[in-house]
Amino acid sequence: MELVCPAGNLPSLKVAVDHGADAVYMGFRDDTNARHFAGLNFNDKRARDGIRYAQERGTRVFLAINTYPQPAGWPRWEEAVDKAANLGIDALICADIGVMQYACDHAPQLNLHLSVQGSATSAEAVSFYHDHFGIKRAVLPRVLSLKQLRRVVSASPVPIEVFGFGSLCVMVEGRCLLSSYVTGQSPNTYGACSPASAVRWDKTPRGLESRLNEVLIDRYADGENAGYPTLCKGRFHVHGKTGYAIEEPVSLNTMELLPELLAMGVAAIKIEGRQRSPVYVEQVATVWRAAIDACQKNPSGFHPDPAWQQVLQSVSEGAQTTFGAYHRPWQ
Amino acid sequence: MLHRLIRRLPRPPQAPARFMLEQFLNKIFATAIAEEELDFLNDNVFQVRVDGIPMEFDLTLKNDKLKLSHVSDQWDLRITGSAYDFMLLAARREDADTLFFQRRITTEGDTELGLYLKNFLDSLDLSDLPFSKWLEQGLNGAIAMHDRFEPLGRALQR
Ligand code: SF4
Repeated sequence: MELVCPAGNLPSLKVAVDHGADAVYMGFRDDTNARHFAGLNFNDKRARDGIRYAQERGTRVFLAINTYPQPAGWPRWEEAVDKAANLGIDALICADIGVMQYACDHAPQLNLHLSVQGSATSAEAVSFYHDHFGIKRAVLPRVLSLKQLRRVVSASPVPIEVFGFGSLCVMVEGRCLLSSYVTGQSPNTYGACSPASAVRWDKTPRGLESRLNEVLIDRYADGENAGYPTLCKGRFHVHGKTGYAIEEPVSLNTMELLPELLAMGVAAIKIEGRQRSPVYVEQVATVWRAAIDACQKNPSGFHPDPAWQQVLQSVSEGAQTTFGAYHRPWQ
Repeated sequence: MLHRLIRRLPRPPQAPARFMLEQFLNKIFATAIAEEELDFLNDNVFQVRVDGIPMEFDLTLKNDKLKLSHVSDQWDLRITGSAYDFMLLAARREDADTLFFQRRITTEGDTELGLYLKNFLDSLDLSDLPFSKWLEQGLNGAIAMHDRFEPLGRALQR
């Protein structure tokens, strides 16, 4: 089972490689990838340096071109695919069928991975991408229960990668329009959920308030842990009560489920967080490397070390973690 | 502990300290400024407030020089935190979002500007900076001292 770590910048890439990532994933500095954040990601020179650093040490590099080209921007996506092909990356993570077709036609040597933004939640959907574009791997959205996941993995024509840790998208990724609803921009169209330009934090006498395009998302009392100001993790007034109606500020952590994921044949664990700093990547890569090694050695006796869980919890949104959909008893 | 000690000392005049910090920042970020990596600070005022010690300033970029000045109301982004947490950030011992989730640092104002700054700092290869060894040792020394004396300080306060 592989460990796939995020790299939002060169120092993060290096620490991921140095702390046991089997592969790292990165993006270019524009809206062709779903972490289109100010000052994040790789320019051409840093991309080249990073790829060399990783590959010389036996770590593979995946590049995300996983947003959906907008009517005016198609040449940017073409250019990104061409650049990726020239850089000699190990796989291209993409979601849009136009981008996949372009890659198949112009850079047939590129390995394609279906991005989580592709929203494939069934073996049939994965097969479609395999039959038409020859994808070599698929990353599944974080909405499947273990039972559903097992069904997809066993019938999928390609290896499956799932999210193991990090900030949680609670909708089927690639199909969530909440950010567009409030800001006009979303991961699919712009490369960011709740873009920073629409976010405002204010210290007020009633607490720390986060606003998205002037809409109040949450108000944290003193001492309450905070999260990213996404609509899905906002507090809503429902039936006379104010609370988290969709999801709390929380991060996904599947470490306890590792033996089950391993047994069902999941090929790779993906760590979310290209927007985080090198120290996060180092902390998270270190504990997940140790956990995957321990689990592979002795799956039936595997128990996450409390110290690992402590590290993961401390870097999490709201300083708390959840199994997410994996443990949905009703499915 | 460190800031409690410092608070007891007579307040040093801020202007000379600011001047020294300004010189220092211009030195270590000279390459980044030349490569236009700090252009996001052009005409944008970034205010830093350090809780517990008399350290606060406005930072901006003018004519390819970082300028530090006395705090004003004209800031675009304000970041507040303890000296200890700022040191942890500078020494790459804590992640900015982690401290943010835990409410240990606060940002107000232009969130995108904050993101630029954070991502600029994260993308620096620290070993490329002038005085990097010295800086690292200084920061780690100060952090270690805080970690050693903090429990003592807390016990004495009881
Ligand atoms: S609003 Fe929430 S679920 Fe939707 S894309 Fe953003 S983080 Fe994901």
